[in-house]
Formats: sequence, C-alpha cells, structure tokens
Amino acid sequence: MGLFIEVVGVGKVYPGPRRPVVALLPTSIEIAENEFVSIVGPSGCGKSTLLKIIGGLLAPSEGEVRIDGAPVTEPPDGVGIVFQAPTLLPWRTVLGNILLPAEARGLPRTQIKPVARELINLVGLDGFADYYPQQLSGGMQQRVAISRALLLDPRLLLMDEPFGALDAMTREEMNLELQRIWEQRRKTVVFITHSIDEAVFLSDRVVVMTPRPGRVREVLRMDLDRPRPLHVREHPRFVEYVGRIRDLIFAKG
Amino acid sequence: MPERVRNLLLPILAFAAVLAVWEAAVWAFRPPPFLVPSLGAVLRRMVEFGANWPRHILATVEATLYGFAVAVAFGGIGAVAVVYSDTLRRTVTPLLVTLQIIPKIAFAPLFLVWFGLGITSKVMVAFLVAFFPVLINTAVGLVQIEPELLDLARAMKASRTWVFFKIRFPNSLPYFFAGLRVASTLAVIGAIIAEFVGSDVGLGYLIVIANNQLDTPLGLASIALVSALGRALYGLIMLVERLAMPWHMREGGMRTAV
Repeated sequence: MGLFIEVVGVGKVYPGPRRPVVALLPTSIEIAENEFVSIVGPSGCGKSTLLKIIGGLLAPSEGEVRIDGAPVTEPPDGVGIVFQAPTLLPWRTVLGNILLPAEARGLPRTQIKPVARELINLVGLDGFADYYPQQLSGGMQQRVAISRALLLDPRLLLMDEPFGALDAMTREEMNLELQRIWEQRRKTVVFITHSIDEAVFLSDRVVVMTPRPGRVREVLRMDLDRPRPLHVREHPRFVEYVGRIRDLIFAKG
Repeated sequence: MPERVRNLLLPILAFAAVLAVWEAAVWAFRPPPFLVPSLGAVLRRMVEFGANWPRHILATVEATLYGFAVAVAFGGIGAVAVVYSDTLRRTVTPLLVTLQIIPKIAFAPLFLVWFGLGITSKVMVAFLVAFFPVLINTAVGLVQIEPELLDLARAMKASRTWVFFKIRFPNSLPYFFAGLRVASTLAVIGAIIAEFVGSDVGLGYLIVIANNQLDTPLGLASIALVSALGRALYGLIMLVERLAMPWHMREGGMRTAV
C-alpha cells in the first residue's frame, strides 16, 4: 500500500467578529491507498474542516494537502463525498440522484446507467430505483447518497458523519453495510465521526483529535481481523481500543 | 364518512351556513334593500344584468392577467439577476425595499394621470402589487439550498449553468409558486383598485357605480364575481403547481417504504 494522501501542517483560522477563530491547529496525517481512516473528536474540533480541506472544498490557512504528491488546490478528480444529511434532490428519483455526478460532468447517461443500477443493488436498494427520496427512510436515503458518491468509482471516499443522523440500530446496520461495500470496492476512506465505537469498528487506523482548537492527539492502528462481525464489539481488543480512545479524548492538555 | 367526501362536504356546508344566516337575518329584520338586500335579490339582479356582465368581467380579467403575467416575468427574471449579480443586488436592494414599503395602490391615481383611463393604468397597478411577492419568493428559493449540496456540486465539477438549471431552478419552484399564489390575489386587488380610481368598465367600476346609485344588489353581485375570479386564478395556479412539481405534492400524503 503506497502513500496516497499527505496532510502536511494543515491549519485553518476563520476571521471572527472580534478576533480570529482557530478551527484547526497545524495537523499532519498520512494516509495510504485503500486505507480506512477515521477521525474522531468532540464537536467543534475541526474534523469537518479538515475533511473539506482534503476534498479541496476549503483552502487551508497554512500547510497543504497532497494527493499522489500533487498539492490540492481545488476538488480533485476521483473523490466521492457523503455528508451527514443525504443531500438528495427531492425532484429526482433514486436513480436520478445517483446519476447526478455523471450528469454534472456531461457523461452519457446510457453508458453510466448500468453502473448506477449495479450500485443500487450493491447498497441493498433493489426495486427502489424509481422511488423519490421522500418515500425512503433515513437509512435508505443515506444508502442512495453512498451510491451517488461511488458512481464514478472514486479512489477516495470522504464521509462526514454519514450515519450521525440515524438511530442507533440503523447505524449499526449501516456500519456493517459500509464495511461490506468497502470490502467489495476497495477505496481509501476518510471517515469523520464522533462515535468512538463506529470508528473502531470500521477503521484500519483512528486519528484522535483534541477539543477546540483541534489538533491530532494520537493515531491508533485497529488490529482486528476483517470482515468484522457486529459482535467484534465484545472482543477484548475492541473494548481496549474504545477505552484508549475515550481516555485520549477526555484527557487534559 | 370517507375523508374525500368530508373534505368536500364541510366547506360547502360552511358556505351554506353563512348564506342561511344572511337570509334569515334579512327575513327577520327586514332592512331596506339598499342597505342589506336578500340573497334572492342579489341573484335576481345578477341575472337581470345578464348580457352587460361579459365586457365588465372581461375588462377586469384582462387587467388582472396582464398585470400578473408582467409581474411573474419581471419578478422571475429580476430574482435571477439579483441572485447572480452581487453588484446589482447591492445597488437595487435599498431601492426595492423603499418601494416595497410604499402601499403600491397609492400609485393608482398617479398612473391614471400618466397612462389614462384605459387598460394600461390598471395593468400597471396590478403589476406593481403582484411583482414583489414573486421577486422575493423566487430569490429566496434560488438561494435557500443546503450548503452541502453546493459543496457536492463543486466536487462534481459542475458548471454554474448546470447548477442553476439542475439545482437552483427546481429548488426555487415551490417558493416561486408560493409567490404566484400571493401575487394572483394581489393582482385582482390591484386591478379592482385601479378601476375604483378611474375607469369606465370592469367589476371595480361597477362596484363604484352601484354604490353611487344605491344599487347594493348589483354591488354585491360584482363582489361575488371578483371573488370567483380570484378563486379561479388561484385554483389555476395550484393546478399548474401540481403538474410542474409532482414530487412536491407527494410529500403530503406520501407512503414511506419500509
């Protein structure tokens, strides 16, 4: 696995009404190709800011992000994004929403449609292609958002608390689903969450951030066999990782 | 009782109740007809006026529709311009707000002086009162978009034109139609006011004439027709709205899968 993404001393300061607000202290992370990396931390620690900078949607105040050695200055090709809200277009069907990235780039519909249909099956939405988003549950809407992000077979998937708005049971189910999808379509995933449990379950490595202003406190490798079943949560090492991360987040200084 | 029947029946009963109370009050208190005529008297006058109606109805309909159409065109185009040009927005917003504060019907006498007795002054008043709700609603609809959706569009390398036609425009439709509904009723009011102020034809003109001649049944009959005109326009917009945005109506009584 080669080096894919380098986050080099990336920091972000927003101009505030009185004084500038530091959202992210200089942060450095290296992510390998096909690696699943989660970033956990309390609210307001700059996780989402970091994700947007990696995705080229936000310019850092200092430092730079390099993908394959090239500095990111605008949204790079081959990136799929999933947000906490499904952000689907209510006037489009499931299929129409999934096809959006292809349409935006002016790719021919006929060529990409089979890919979209395949993705609908992959995320377990068989038979729902012609439904409108409002007719689907929150979990199903998020499955559509994941399909949309996967449409153009991106190398990098950026996920910003994608299951944060779902109930606990749907969330566990979606964790399992995401792992299955990731096993089938190996990609580099940068996954933002404030659920320690979810981060340990899904990730190869977990980046633990400090409260505001955020910086990386520690990066831990999750040494658990894949595929991980739901009851991996009872594994002593799983329990140990969760405890370590919790301690790191709530530790002072 | 099935819901559909109930939804139809109850409003009809409400109408019938109001008319019944009116009829009963006239029967009980016997006011002079020029003060409060009976329902029957109004209906009789309505029939009696017969062939005189069309040109008055048509005049008001015409003024309303032209004013409404111009308001929709200018409001819609203006909204796009204001949303897309920062300079234009900063330049015209104070002007628009100032204009919006003025009761637009205050211009009616002035328009009469400027444009004469004909249809132009009526169209101008209808346009002026109907313009702002279209402009403001449409502008809001073009802007009220989840920021994540715009981030997504940027990540997908979508062009500005594409974002406009595929995201902003459809997103604005529910707001646009809400604006049209408000504008449609205002356009009727504008046309009627203009006819009050100065006109020789139209339902507003008839109301003034009937008042002067103490022909209250004719006045009430005209008011009923104004109301019917407003309802018809409103209903037409609802129909177009439903056809234009099938997904939007679906949100109401939709069924949820799973």
